[in-house]
Amino acid sequence: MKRSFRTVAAMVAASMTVSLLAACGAAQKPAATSEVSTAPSTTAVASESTKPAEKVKFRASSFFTGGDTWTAAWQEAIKDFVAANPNVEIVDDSTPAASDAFKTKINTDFASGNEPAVAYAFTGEIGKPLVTSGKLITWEDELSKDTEWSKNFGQGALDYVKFDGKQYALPYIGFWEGMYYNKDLFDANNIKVPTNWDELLAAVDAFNKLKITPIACSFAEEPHYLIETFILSMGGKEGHDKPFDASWAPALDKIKELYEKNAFSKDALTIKQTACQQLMKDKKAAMFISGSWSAAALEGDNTSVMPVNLLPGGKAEPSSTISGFSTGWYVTDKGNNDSNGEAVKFVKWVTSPERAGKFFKVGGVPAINCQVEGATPLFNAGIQMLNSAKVVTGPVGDTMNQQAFTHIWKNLPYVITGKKTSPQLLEEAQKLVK
Amino acid sequence: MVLKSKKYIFIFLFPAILLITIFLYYPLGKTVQYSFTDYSEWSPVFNYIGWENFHRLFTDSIIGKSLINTLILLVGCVVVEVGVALILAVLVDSIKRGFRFFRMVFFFPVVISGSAIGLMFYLAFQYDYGLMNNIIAVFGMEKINWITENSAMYLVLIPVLWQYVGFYFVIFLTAIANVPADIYESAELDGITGFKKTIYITIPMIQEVIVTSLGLVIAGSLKVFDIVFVMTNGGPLDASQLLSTYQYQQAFVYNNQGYGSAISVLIITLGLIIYIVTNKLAQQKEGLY
Amino acid sequence: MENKNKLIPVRGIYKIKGSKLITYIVLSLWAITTIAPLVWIFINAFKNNDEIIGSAFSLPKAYLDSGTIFQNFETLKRFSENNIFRGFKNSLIMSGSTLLLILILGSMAAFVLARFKFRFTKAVKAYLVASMLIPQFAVIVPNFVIMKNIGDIFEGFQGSYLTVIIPQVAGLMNFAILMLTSFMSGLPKELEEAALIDGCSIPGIFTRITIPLTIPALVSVGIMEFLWSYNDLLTPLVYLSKRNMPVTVLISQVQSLYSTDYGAMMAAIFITVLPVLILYFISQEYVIKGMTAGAVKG
Repeated sequence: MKRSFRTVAAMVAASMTVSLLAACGAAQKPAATSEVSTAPSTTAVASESTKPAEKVKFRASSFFTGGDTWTAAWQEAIKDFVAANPNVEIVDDSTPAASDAFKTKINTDFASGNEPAVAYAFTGEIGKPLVTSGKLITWEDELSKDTEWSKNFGQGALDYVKFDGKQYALPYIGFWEGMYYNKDLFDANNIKVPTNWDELLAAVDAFNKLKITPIACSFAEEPHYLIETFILSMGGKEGHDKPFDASWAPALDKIKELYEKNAFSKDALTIKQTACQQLMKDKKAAMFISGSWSAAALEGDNTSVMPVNLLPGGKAEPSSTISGFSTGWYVTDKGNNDSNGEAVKFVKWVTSPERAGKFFKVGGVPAINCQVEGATPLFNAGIQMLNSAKVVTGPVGDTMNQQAFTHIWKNLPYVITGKKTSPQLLEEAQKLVK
Repeated sequence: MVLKSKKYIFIFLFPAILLITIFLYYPLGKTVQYSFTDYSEWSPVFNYIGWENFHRLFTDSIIGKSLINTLILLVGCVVVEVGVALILAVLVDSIKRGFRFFRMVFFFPVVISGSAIGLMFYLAFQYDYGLMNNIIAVFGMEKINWITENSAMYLVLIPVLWQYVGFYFVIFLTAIANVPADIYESAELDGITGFKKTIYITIPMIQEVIVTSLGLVIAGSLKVFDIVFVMTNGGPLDASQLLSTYQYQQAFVYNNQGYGSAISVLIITLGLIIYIVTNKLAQQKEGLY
Repeated sequence: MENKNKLIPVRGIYKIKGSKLITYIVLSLWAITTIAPLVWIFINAFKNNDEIIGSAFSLPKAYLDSGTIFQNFETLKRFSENNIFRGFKNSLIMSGSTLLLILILGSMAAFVLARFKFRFTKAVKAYLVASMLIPQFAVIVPNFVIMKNIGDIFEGFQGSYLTVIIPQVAGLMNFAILMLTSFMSGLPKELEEAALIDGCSIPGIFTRITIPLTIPALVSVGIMEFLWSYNDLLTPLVYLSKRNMPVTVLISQVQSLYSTDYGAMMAAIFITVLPVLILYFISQEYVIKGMTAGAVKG
C-alpha cells in the first residue's frame, strides 16, 4: 500500500492547481453557469429522467450525518438528485464517524450481506473488508467510457485510492492533517507560535498559567492524528511510512512528555473528539491536532493551521505534511443492478464538478477539478500548507494492519500515563500482525 | 388432567424449542468452535490455531482488569441491589401513607433503557459542561475531573446498581406482603418488633424469594453492557472495562472474531461456575433451616 | 399489614413517630434519586446550552420567550433520515412484533409443559432454564453469520427488522415460557377436563379456555418482555441497517453527533424515556405483578 512520494506529491499538486485555478470542468457547457438553480437540471443524469423510468430505490451510506462537516451538502445532494429523478428513491443510511462507529458499521454491513448500493467510505487498508467482500464494482470501464466526466479527476487522486491496483473507489474529499492554533489566543497573551519543541513547551506552560487548555486531544476517540503527525515529525517520511520503524517509540514518548507537562485537558483520556473541537472553537484551547475535516467548524480569521514538525531530533523536512484521499465512493454490483444503474449514475452526478464544488466549499482537499466558491480563510490556510509542503505522505494509520493500529491508538493512554513503555506497546501491536 | 397427544406436544413445543436451539444453543457451540480459530475481519477463511486465543486470554492484562471489574460489579449487585432493595421493601411495607407512591417511583429507573441512563450519567459527569461540575461551581469549588482511572469503575457502578434496585424492591415488597399476618401477630405478642422482627421473621419468611432474586441478580450482572458502553466505553485505561464490553470491542472494533469468541467462552464459563456455586450454597442453606 | 399497624399504639407513640420519621426520610431520599434525574432531563430538553450549563434546575426561559420551545427537537431531525422519531417508530414495530411472537409461541410451549405429561418434560424445562444463562453477546458472532446465511437465501432479510426480532424472541422467550408454565400449572383443571369430555379439541381448549384464563399473566409477562426488547442495545447495534435502528442505538450515538449540544441530547433522552414511562403509568399494577409472579412463586 505504500505510495512513492512522487505519486502523492503529483496528486496533491494536481488537485491544488485545479482548485486554485478555479477552472470549472463543466464550464464549457453553457447551462452549467447558472449557479442559482438548486436542481441538477444541467447534468447528464437529469436528462435521462425525461424518459418514463421504472421506480427504483437504493441505500447510500456515508458518515455525513449529525454535526459532520458535510451533512448539509450530502443531504442536499440526495434531495436534489431525487427531485431531478422522480423514479429514484435514496435511503440515507449514514452513521457518525466518531469512535469508529462508521467503520464498524460499514464493515459489518458488508460482512453480513447488508451492504448499501452506494457507500462513501474509507479506502486503503481500512477499506479492505469492502474489497475482499467481492461485492464492489470497479470503475475503470466507466472512467474510460465517459471521459467528459472522468477527465475532472486528478490522476494522483485516482491512483491513491486504488487497492491492489484496482479502482474500487472514486476519490472525492481529500484531507490533510495538521495543528490548528488559535492565533488570537497566542497574540493576546504574547505567546510565540511554536516553531520548535522548546517553544511548544514554553507555550504549554504559558497557557496552563492562563487556565487555557494548551492542546485539545481526545485520547478516547481520535488520537490518530497526534500519533501520525508525531511519527512523521520524528521519523520523516521514511520512518512514518514503515510500520514499527525505530522512530515510532521516541515519537510516542514525546506525547508522553507533553502529557506529563499537562499539555492536554484534564479529561483528555475521556473527552470526545467533537468536544475537543468545541473547546478550540470556544477559545478554551489553544492548539488542536486534527485534519481538514475540522476546518469548517473552526473557521474564522483567528484560527490557522501548520505542520506539526516540532519534535527535537526529528528527521522530517520541516514542511512535511500528511495528506491523502483516504475516502471514496464505492458502488456494489448488486446494488447497481437492482437500481437499474441509478447507483452509478448518482455517484457520477455527485462527482460532477458542479456538485463536488458544493462539498469542497465546506472543507477538504478536492480530488476533482472544479470551482470552490466562498472558501474560508482557514480552508485556504490548509491549502497553503499543502502547497508549500515539500514532502507529503498518506497517514500510516490508514495503510498499516488495522488490528495493530487500533491497538496502538487504543492503548496509547497506557504509555502516556507511564503504565507501559512505548516499545512495549509497539511490540504488542506488532504481534497482532500476522 | 394430563394430556398425552404426541402430535400436539410436538406442534406446540416445536417452534419455541427450534428457535432456542438455532439461535442460542447452536451459536453457543459455534462460539466455542470459533474460539479455537484465527477468525478475523469476517473473512470466510479461517484456520484452527489450537489454544492460542486462550493463551492470549491469560496474558492479556485487560482481561484481568475486565474480570476483576465484572466481579466487582457482581458483588456490588448482590450486596447493594439486594441489600438496598430489601431495606426499602421493609420500610415501605411498614408505612401506610405514600405506599403506592414510593412503589411507583422506585421502579422508574427499571423501565428506562440502559442507553438513556448511560447518556444521562455521562452528561452528569462531563468535565466541562457536566451537571456535577455545574453544581459544585455554585459552591465556588474547582471543577473536578470525575471519570478517572481510579474512579471510573465506581462511577459506572452507580447507575448500574441504581437502575435495578427498584426491580428487586418490588419483588421483595410483594413477598413481604404475602407473609401471613398471623405470624407477625404472634411475634409481636412475644415482643419481637421493629428491627428484630425484620431479621427473625421477615427475612426467613421470604428466604426463598431472596435466593431466586440472587440468581437473577447474578445472571443479570454478567449481562451488563449498555450503560457502560454509553457512559465510558470501558475507559479510561480500560478502568471500567467489563468482559462484555471488551468482548464487543474485540469482536467488532478490532474485528477479531476468534479472540472475541474466546472471551465469550470465558464469560459463559464464569456464569456457569457462579451458578453452580450459588445453587450449592442455596441448597446447603435450605438444609440449615 | 393492616393487623400489624393496629398494634402500634400499644408501644409508646413517641418512639414510633421517631422511627416513622426516619423511615419517611430514607424513602424520600431514595425517591429523590429516582425522580430528580427525570426532572433534570424533562426540564433541560426545552432549554438551550447556556441555560443548561448555567442553571441545571431552572425552568426553560430562552426558548419559551422566543417561541421556539421545541428547538432541541428540531435539531434532532438533523439526524439525517435516521432521526430519533423514526427510531421510536422502529422500536415500537420491533418490540411489538417480538412481544407478539413471544406470547404466542411462549404460551403454546407453556401449555404443553403445564398440561401434558411426557417423558421429556423435565429435560425440556432444564433446557429452557439453562438457556437463560446464555447472554446475547456470547452468541452474537455466530448469530451474525447465521443471519448472513439466511440473508443470502432471502432477499431483503439483512438489515431488516427480522434480524433483531428473531434473536430477541429466541433470547427472551425462555423467561416467558417458564413464567407462563408456572401460572398455567396453578389454574384449576376442571374447566379443561369438562371441555375435553364435551369433545373439544386440544387447540380448542388452548384458545378458548386456557388462554382467556391466562390473560393476567400474559399481560404482566408481556410488559416485561416489551421493556427488555425496547431497551436492548446490543442486538440492533450489530444487526440492523442504520435506517431501521431503534432509539436505544441512536441514543448511544447522540454524544458523538451532538458533542456539546446538551439540549439536543436531553431532548433525545426525553423522547426515549417518555413513552416507556407513560406505558408504565398506565400498566403499573400489571408490571409489578408480572415481575413478582415468577420470583415469588419460586
